[in-house]
Amino acid sequence: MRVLKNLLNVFRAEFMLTLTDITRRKLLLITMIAYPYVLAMFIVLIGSSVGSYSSFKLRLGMDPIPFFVMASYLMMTVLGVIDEVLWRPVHDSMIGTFTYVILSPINRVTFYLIVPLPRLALSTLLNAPTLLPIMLIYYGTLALLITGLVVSFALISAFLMISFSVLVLGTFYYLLGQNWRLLNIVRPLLLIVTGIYYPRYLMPLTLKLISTLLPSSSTVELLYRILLNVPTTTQYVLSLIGVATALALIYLPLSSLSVGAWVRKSLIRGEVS
Amino acid sequence: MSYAVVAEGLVKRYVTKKRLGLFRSIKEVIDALKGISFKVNYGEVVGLLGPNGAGKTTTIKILATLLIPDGGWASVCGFDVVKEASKVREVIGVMLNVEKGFYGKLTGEENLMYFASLYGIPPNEARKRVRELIELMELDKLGATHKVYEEFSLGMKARLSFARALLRDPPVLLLDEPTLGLDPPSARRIRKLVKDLARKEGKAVLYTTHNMFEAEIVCDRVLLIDKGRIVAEGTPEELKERLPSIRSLVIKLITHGANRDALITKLRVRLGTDVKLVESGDDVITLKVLTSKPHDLLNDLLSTVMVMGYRVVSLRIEEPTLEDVFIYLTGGVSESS
Repeated sequence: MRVLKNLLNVFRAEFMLTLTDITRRKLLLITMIAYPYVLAMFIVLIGSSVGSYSSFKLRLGMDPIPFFVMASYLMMTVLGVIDEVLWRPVHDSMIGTFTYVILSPINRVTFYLIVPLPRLALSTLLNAPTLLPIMLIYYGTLALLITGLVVSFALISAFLMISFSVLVLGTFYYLLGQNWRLLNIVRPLLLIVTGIYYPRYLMPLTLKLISTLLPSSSTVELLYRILLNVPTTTQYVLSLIGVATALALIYLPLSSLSVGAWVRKSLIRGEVS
Repeated sequence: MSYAVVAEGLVKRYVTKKRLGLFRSIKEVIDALKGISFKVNYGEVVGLLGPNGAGKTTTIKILATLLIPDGGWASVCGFDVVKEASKVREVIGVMLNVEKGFYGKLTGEENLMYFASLYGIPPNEARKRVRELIELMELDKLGATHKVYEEFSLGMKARLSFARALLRDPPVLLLDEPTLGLDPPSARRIRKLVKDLARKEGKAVLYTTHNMFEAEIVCDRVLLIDKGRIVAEGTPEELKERLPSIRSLVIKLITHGANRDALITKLRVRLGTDVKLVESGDDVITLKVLTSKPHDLLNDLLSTVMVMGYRVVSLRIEEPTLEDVFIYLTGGVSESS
């Protein structure tokens, strides 16, 4: 009961921190809302200059504009979790709050598992309505259903990525030290292997295998299969859900180990500041 | 008797890389602590004094469970700082680097509420405690309660940092240079609170500072630390007593244009100790005679000066300051050396 109360306390604190951060940084708020459209516009412009609009539609079975708006929204939600987890210790160290996080009685792994939740909830709430107009233009009455489906899958995918993100945090920071540049390496790699911009079922085998290690890539694949009407057996659907859930659960104890090792190493080296 | 803080032979080494070129580097081991031992009682303010790199912050960090020692042992309120780190964290209030440590977009009150939640204080209790601390630190009077942290002055930041250290009302406070760079009112406020918390509430306080004046007025006991070792320990008065030949006779003279160097040379020979010119005006000079027995030299000093035709304006005996002791014991350039 006490543990649950502590978790709730931390969630409340993090929610307040995220909410004030978003509302007091107007530019951040505007960027969050406009991001899926800006990115989609950019990709479609580049794509149409090197490829054909109609061949994209033929190959994927969906118009590129709603596809990329949706994919950008998905990416923002899923990568938002990774960003939040990986960036947080670096940011805390920079502003001097990392010391006080370490000094708090909350378990470090639990803390980093909770950290992305408020932003995930807020960004979903803020961004979901921005998807609706484009879906209305392309899908009319089905827009609400499609938006609901995308938002739900984005939430599930992001949620399943939390334990993986904490594992990456612990492992990389243990091996390489706390470095914000890590984000620049991790982001583009994940951008490819999550299968958000390039559906997993179209990937070459090696990439597909790597992609399978990411829990969210399975849920993203499932969403695309539903939206793009890709013939899929019930067994395959269940296997995708099973793999995603199993991986997220397997990564939990591993993330605990890796974060424990990283914090201990930091305490030995005197890197907690 | 149980002590609030016990440190026994604490050793800490840092391994750093020394760059020798673009690709070459060698590992360098820095001995930050070379086996320091001390104890702090409840209700006592103990100052940790030393030059930069002496090991003050390293000691505080070990006791705060933010650094694992390479040797030795330490406990806070009876809990081992390595094996029972989580228990130690519940009984300490820590203040490190007053310049930062809060979220810029949150107000003073919100920041305290955030850390109260992180420390597991229930919301209603936290709100009450935060209000108390804001009043105690006079943050409300400074208008810092609803101001975002990034707009805080250094004084406000330090007060907020001290308030956070007190959030859980811990029996032990570990304060690393809490008044560094502060305006006099803020520094005075923090010093007064530290003393009050120790005297009235029986809290044990370990306090690092560079400010000797501050150490003299705040600390019940001082540990002088240099190059990872404690070089002296005692009350400020005891430490000053230990310092040999540092009391000084300060004499102000009217010279009437006479040769000052000849006087200083003659005084050195006659008194058998160092004599320094500390102030020199057109017709007036001030000399400082360093001695362990000032009263014994008074007669000789006065007779020599008068025989040479100088007129005495004033004469006083100066006691050593803690700064003199600090410089003397840590091998700095002291006046006596």
